[in-house]
Amino acid sequence: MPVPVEGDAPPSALLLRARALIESHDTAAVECMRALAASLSDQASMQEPLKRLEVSIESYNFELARLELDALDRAFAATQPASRYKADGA
Amino acid sequence: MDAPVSKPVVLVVDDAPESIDVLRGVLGAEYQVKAAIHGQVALELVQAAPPDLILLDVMMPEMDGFEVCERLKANPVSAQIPVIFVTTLGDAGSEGRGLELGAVDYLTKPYVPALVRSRVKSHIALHHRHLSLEHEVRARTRELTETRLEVIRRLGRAGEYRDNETGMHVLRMSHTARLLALRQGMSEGEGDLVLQAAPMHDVGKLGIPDRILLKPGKLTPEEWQIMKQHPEIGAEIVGNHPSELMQTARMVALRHHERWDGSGYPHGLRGEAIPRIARLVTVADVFDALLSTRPYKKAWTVAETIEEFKAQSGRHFEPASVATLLEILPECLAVQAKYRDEAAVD
Repeated sequence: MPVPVEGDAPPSALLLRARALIESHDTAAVECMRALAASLSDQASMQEPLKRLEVSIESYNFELARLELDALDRAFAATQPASRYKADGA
Repeated sequence: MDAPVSKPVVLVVDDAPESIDVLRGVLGAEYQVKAAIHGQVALELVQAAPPDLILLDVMMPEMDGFEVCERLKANPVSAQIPVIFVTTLGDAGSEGRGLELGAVDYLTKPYVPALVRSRVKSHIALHHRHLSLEHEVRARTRELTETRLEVIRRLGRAGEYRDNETGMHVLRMSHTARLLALRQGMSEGEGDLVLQAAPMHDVGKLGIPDRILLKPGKLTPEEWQIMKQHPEIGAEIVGNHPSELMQTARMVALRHHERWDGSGYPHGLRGEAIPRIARLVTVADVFDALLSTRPYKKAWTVAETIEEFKAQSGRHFEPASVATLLEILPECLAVQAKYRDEAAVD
């Protein structure tokens, strides 16, 4: 069972949790997705991949969601100093 | 911090997201709700991590719910998982077919939340009870099997203790017999059967008087006639229980003194009329006896023992079994070394 994270967890932790939920087809990915969207709401460059991920998760298409999450991971990594993102374990 | 308590897992298989939304809302507080929108994906998920219950929609593209159910029930990994079919209201045909395919129940759309919760809770509780009982039965069966084997082993050694203080002969000859069986192409299961039955070969000695069994010198013809009764006494002691092990043990006790050329006892069986396992046990028994010190003889050397087997091939022993013994002689001698008489074990 994926380890839960707090609602105010950093985006990197939410991304990890989202991946675990998506890979196990857990519908709790819907709530995680909402928390992730809220935590990244001020990141304009992330809104498009976030939207695509949201659509795939809300349609429970977890195969597609995994691909969209990869894209979101890459977009997120581009906004972070490399050393910090790695330190978060992503 | 306490570790999170795992919730039972419910897998919803439905191609309609709005239907999954409803079930997630109804069940999400008490269960970990997983979802698959294709039958094939559901089968892969179940194989990887079996859920506690599956809610399966009948109407799905490509692979419908009936086919998914059939495949689930055909797979040992998923056969026991309760499946509740989801049908549209009034589709009595689908409900009947789903139950025939092994589903435990059905629900109809639109969902009645209280009914969904009740059915899911009941069937998961039944499933867990079933798993618990199965586990208990397996544990008890294993215990019974181990007890039975131990009793047989002890009984075999009891017979041996009459004329062999350490009782190691039965260990050596039974392991040797197993090696011979495996070398001749018998399965691991058959090898285990030989290993477990062979110790009973001399249990009939329990019925032979000490004055004869322990006599250091040569037996008189009358005493020899009594001694030759031990195979039949052994068969009587083992009894006629229908289990494969007990039948094999009885056969071994009765036939281990028959000889390939028909000169053995108690019935003078010849060649392949002697059961195959008995032919192997005879070789293993004599091999160990020749290499051991007995009240009436010294231990033979390996070379003397090999010469005797070559000389008796086709007479006392089945030629193929002698050939097998010679092929695996180092392994058989390793058994001798491992279970030496001075290394008596409990």
